[in-house]
Amino acid sequence: MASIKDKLSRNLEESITAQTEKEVRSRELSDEELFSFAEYDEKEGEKTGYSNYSYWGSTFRMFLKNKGAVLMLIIMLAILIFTVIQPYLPGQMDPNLVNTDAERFIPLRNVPPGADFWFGTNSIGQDLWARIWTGTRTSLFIGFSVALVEAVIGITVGVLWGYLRRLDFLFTEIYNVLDNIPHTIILILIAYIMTPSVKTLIFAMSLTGWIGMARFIRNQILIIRDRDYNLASRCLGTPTYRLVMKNLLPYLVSVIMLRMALSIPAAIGSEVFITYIGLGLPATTPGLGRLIEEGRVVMMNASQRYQLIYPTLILSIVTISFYIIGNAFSDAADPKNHR
Amino acid sequence: MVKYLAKRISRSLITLFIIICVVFVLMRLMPIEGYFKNFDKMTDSQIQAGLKEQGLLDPMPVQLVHFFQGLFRGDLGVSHSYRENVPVTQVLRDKLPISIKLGSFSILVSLLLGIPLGTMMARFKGRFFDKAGTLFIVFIQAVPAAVYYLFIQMYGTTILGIPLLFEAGNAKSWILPILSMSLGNIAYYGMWLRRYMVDELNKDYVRLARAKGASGNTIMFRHVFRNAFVPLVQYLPSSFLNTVIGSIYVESLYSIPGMGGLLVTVIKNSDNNMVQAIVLLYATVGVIGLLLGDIMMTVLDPRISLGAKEGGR
Amino acid sequence: MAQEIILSVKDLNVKFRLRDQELHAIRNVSLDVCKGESLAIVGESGSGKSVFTKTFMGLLDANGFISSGRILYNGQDLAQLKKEKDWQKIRGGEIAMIMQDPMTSLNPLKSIGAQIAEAIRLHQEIQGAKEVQARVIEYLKDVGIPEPERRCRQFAHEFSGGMRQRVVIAIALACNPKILICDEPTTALDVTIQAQIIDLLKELKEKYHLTIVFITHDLGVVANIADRVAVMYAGDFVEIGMAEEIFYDPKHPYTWALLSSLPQLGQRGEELFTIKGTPPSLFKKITGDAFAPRNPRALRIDYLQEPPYFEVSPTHKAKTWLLDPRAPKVDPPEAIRNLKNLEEVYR
Repeated sequence: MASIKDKLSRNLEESITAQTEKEVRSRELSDEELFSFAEYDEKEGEKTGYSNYSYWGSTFRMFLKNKGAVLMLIIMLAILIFTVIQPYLPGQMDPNLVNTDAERFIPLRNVPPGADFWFGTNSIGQDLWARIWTGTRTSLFIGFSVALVEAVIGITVGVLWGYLRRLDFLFTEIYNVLDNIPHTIILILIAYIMTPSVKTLIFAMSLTGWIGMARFIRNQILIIRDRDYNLASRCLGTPTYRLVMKNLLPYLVSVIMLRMALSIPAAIGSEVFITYIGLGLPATTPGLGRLIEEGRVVMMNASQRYQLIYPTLILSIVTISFYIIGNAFSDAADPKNHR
Repeated sequence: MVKYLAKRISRSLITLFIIICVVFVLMRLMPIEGYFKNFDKMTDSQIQAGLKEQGLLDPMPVQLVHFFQGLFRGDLGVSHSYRENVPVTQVLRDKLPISIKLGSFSILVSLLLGIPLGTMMARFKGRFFDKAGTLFIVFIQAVPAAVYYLFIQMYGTTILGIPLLFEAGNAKSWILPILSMSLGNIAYYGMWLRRYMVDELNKDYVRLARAKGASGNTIMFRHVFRNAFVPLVQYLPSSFLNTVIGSIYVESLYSIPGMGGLLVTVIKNSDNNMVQAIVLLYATVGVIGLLLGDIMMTVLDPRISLGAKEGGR
Repeated sequence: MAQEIILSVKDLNVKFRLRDQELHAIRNVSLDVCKGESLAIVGESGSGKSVFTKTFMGLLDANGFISSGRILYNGQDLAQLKKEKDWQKIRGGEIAMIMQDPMTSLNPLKSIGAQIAEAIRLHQEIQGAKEVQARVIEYLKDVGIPEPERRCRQFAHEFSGGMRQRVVIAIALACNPKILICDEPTTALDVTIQAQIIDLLKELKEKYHLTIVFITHDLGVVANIADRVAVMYAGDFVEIGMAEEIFYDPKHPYTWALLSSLPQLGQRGEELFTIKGTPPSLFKKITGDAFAPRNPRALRIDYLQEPPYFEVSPTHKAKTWLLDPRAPKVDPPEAIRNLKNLEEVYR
């Protein structure tokens, strides 16, 4: 025992001398003043522990930090705007017009990209540039519509599912059945039964996507309803809708954004696939799927390969940018990353 | 555990029953051309006789009962336009083996490449390998498979000199289809394995294992990999079966005489019975895949055997 | 009791990088741990207790680092260790740790026997499957788990919280450590279980000749187990002394406040004592005494200049200007002036 005390006291001495040797900065005050009581302000004690934090501010800041995503956002916005205004620009051709030689009246088939036809013409002489932008417009329209329908149905069903405890069993069973069927099969079946058009494609694609969204929303509502801090809040009389507005909504916005951002590329991909198996849009309303299918037919011929490469290039830029923006946004919206 | 399994299996059976009914009813909404080979050249009375002979004029419930009776005997009707009057089951029997073979190879390749990819990405999180892997995964997931398949075929055949069309006897011609079918799964396994491993790495038991003095590799493989792989195992049967289904496009592209290519052909030919049979087959396969996944989970994860899990996934 | 110093921390500074800012979590701390003692580190949540002990094992989170100082153990400066390999020799085998939440600190997919066996294989000579198994059962017996032969094949979810904490302790023991760090080992447990775990730790300390460093904010636990107490506030020790000295003769206003807030000291009909305010933000530079803003009787100098340690007894020092001969006499609060029956309160 004695030796511990010796050692400890030696250490104490050392540290005390070390500390007191330090220069006392505020020599202006006399000892008496220094050792008088300071004024005590209770608020002063509270002040020290806070740091400024705003959810949307941090989300926005995190997103802007991701340079790649910001670049993608700019590219995507440019494409979106361009697809809308393209038909009104001067010198644009009709996407379905078969261009013919003015003198000999034969169709200008497979004209390579050049001054007249920026992206060349296809195998029957239509302007690929005009067709690609029309197709992008169609595909994006399908993509956005599917994402929107999925979100609306998914959220509605999900909220009902989460709120109405009595319906939980029924909804869960319906979910289990629907989710057990491969989505590709549903898509093929519906497309097979109905006549191909933009509307039927949107219908067939939305038929499966909302399930996942609804399930997700339901789980979030259950979690939020039963979490301890919300339980506490409800005990204090906070109505559930307020909890949902305060806690669920900000979080949901980010998730819905992600889901929508991901279902747009998925919808575009489905359109390509459905067109390939012969159930796609008619040639007069070209989607990107139709253009890629047309390009595929001639792809083994090196000189006509551009007919596949241009549409896929545009399609890939669109889908990749949506994918990256969606992921970057959902990362940025996750409070765990706000450091 | 037995109770849970019984419940889970009966749920799959109910699901299957509902799917069969729905598909059957939907198929009756189809134009009747799909039940005849030369519909255009037939007279009205011939058509009526044909419909009657196939039992298509009976009330829907009766048709459904007949269909189920046939199903239990292993009879799914006959093909109309694809191979006239050949039983559907016969056609499928010829086509199935090649699809299963391709699917198995592709899953093998996916696992062999996807697991190391995910593990290494988690191990070197935030470093070069992780970033390169992420780039690959983003690309594969964002670009529709239907698009990059074409480029694999186009450049694979022109640059590598691999035959454009599939021949079962030519090993080289298997490369491109298997590669195409594997890429998506490689990205999928890699992504989820990385995510699960990163999740696991942040858990307290890993901290305890570190405090125990276990080395980074021991922790990575004995604790983290094992635990992260369990949730992935649940999806393996589904992804295997979906790979066989996903081959619809690939098989058709390379003219592989399998199931997937068949579906595209019969859709283009409007052969109703064939479409119905293949759709049902795929649906069954999907249901079984999820069932097997859940059963594997029960075996691997000691916590689930209590039957506390709800909702299938 | 043993004589020598087993672990010596000198002028340790730990910082974290967070949202482009630097957080000064441990501010120039020195502390000696004696062989065979039970040292308790007490303080509010966020005062840096856990971070301080994590530095002994190289287990700081990725954004934390030791900016200066030394941690001397067995002639080695742990603050200089960089390689994981070197740390693996320290972790478990020399210094082991028990964490706060037994519900999550066990691997859910491995039997608890396998998890104990892993520790034995890592740190002990025993390697044969049978011998290891025998040791596993012995450790389970030591930590008071009934039917160890059957229980060692079970999984974490089949154990209650208290039992899981016993398993975690068994894993720590199986590493054969010299120092055992207990990071709030009872916080997540029921009160009745808490006492059992504390008693178990005391028992095992004797049996395995352990040095125990206890991190807690529960002064009841401290009174029960600690030989010596170090009070931490805002990343610095404000008072260090033998347990009796801290309880019966506390000198620092923060220690007074901590003791006063014990609910057991409350008088019927009177409001419980609370410490007003929150601990200071460690993002900002702290001048003077960190506790001053929350101390109603702070001196002017407390805001201006950091107090040195003043020696109260050879084993007791406190970092407050109140001990300066020039300071006015301030008495500790009424409630804690008479802690004589503290023993009765807790035992």
